[in-house]
Amino acid sequence: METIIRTEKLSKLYNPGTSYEVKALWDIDLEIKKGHIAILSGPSGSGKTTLISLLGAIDRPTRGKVFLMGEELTAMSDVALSRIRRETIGFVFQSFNLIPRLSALDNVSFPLIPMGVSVTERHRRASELLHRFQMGERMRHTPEELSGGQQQRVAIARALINNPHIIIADEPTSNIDAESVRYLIETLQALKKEGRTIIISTHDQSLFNLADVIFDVKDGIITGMREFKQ
Amino acid sequence: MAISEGVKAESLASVMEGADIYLTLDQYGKNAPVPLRYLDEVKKINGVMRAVPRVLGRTYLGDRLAVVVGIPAGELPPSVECVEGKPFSSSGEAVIGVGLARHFNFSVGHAFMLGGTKGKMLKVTGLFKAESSIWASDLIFIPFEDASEIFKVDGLATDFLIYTRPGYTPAVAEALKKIEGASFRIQSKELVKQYFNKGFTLKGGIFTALYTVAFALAIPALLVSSGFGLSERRREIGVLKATGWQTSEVLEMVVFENLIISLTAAPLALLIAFLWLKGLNGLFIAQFFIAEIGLFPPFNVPARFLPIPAFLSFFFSLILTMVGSLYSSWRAAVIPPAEAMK
Repeated sequence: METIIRTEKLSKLYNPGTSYEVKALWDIDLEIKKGHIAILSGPSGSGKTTLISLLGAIDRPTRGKVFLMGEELTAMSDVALSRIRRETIGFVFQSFNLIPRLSALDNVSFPLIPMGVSVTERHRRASELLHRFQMGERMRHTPEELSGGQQQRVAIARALINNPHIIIADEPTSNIDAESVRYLIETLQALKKEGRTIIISTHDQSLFNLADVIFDVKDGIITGMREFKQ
Repeated sequence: MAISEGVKAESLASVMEGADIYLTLDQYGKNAPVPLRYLDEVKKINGVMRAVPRVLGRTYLGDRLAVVVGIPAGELPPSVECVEGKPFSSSGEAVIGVGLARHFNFSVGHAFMLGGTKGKMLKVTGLFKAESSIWASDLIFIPFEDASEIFKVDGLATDFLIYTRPGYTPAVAEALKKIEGASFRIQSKELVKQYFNKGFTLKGGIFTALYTVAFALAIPALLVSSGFGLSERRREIGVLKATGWQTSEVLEMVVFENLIISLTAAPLALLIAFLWLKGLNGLFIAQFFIAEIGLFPPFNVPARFLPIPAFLSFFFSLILTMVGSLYSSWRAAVIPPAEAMK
């Protein structure tokens, strides 16, 4: 199966060269196949969020390389990285990162603004996604009027608005209740069936059953890799 | 700015209504009182229609500093129109501005005494309202002789107001220069107009300087409040970048937002200024533009709303919001989104 993401000696240091230097990640080599669900597992502070940020092109490594569909992300300009984030990757953040003053509909549709999509078309596409995630009746609500699980559905809808190949979710079960977790699992399975690659950072074992591959991360290094046949 | 323009307009209107030539003695380049003995000689100059001696001074009426104008009976300026009573006709009478009358609750027939006049009583024969609200407010017209007595300038006038036939002003000025024994200071209407314009330009300059200081202080204040201080904005920009917005697109959105804010803020500022001046009569703020009027202006504060200051209010609010937000937005947009969202 085709590799969609690959890293080579990927390292991230905070405050490099100072007495406060922190090795968040060190010499990470991994490969994720297209259409797989990959889970980065590990305790809090192990470096999962840092690794997932680098794989999602929203942070830059101190050294090492990330390849996305054969293209080296680490060598790309800011403009090129924005294009990758716009066209290829959909990110679901741990704290959802919805814009508080925008409605659910606008939160889902704003990534389309720089692409020159008309307001009507933006709202049509956002509305379709929100309906898909049973949020049709809540699409005029602002994030503070929504529960954690509903905010997460909005965040997932936003991640899908540009129809990306890769969905990245950082600790997706940490801010939602048990019922929402069940709904999330169903959603992730549905997205996988659509042929999308999903990368999840989590220490929640209820998601492990979904995984094609689990990378165990501890103290900034990969300590193990488990592959499953789904 | 509206007050400044209003005061300027009223001042120029007063000048245009005034005499064609203001004559004083020249003492080391300054105005000095002119002896009355020259009056007849001035009147005889070809082209002079009228020459009116005037004594100007300031003194207290109760707690208010009033401007006293001593002028011969029957020579009140045409713009001074009695809304109650009549002009004075003999010694011991006075015509006062409605602002002053309102302040002291004076009416026609009331007697009063000016500060430092040692028992000289004046009786109000009329209340006047001039087109110029500022000058009319604290003005008292009294007979010329009474003013000479009050200010102890017997045989002298502060100046002569010379009214000429149309087109004769330059010739009269030349003739005045030839009068022997006196070094006159001859100021034509045009010259006085220029003084006013220069004076107001100077005042405008001071105002602009104060505005510039406020503007300069507002920039770092805005940078702190809108940029460095607000992590919410930085986080939002991080989210935009993480969802595929480019730095230039983020900045484009910030410019658009600021344009909207400025377009809203400028008319709002003008509306507030208009209501403050027309509704509250420049309460509190007018004292910074018109001296000695206190917190509650005793007359209608003149104000004019012109297109250029209106445009400037939009322009400056745009610059302020742009400077305040563009730099901080740019800083948030050029770092990796993960860092901006922290």
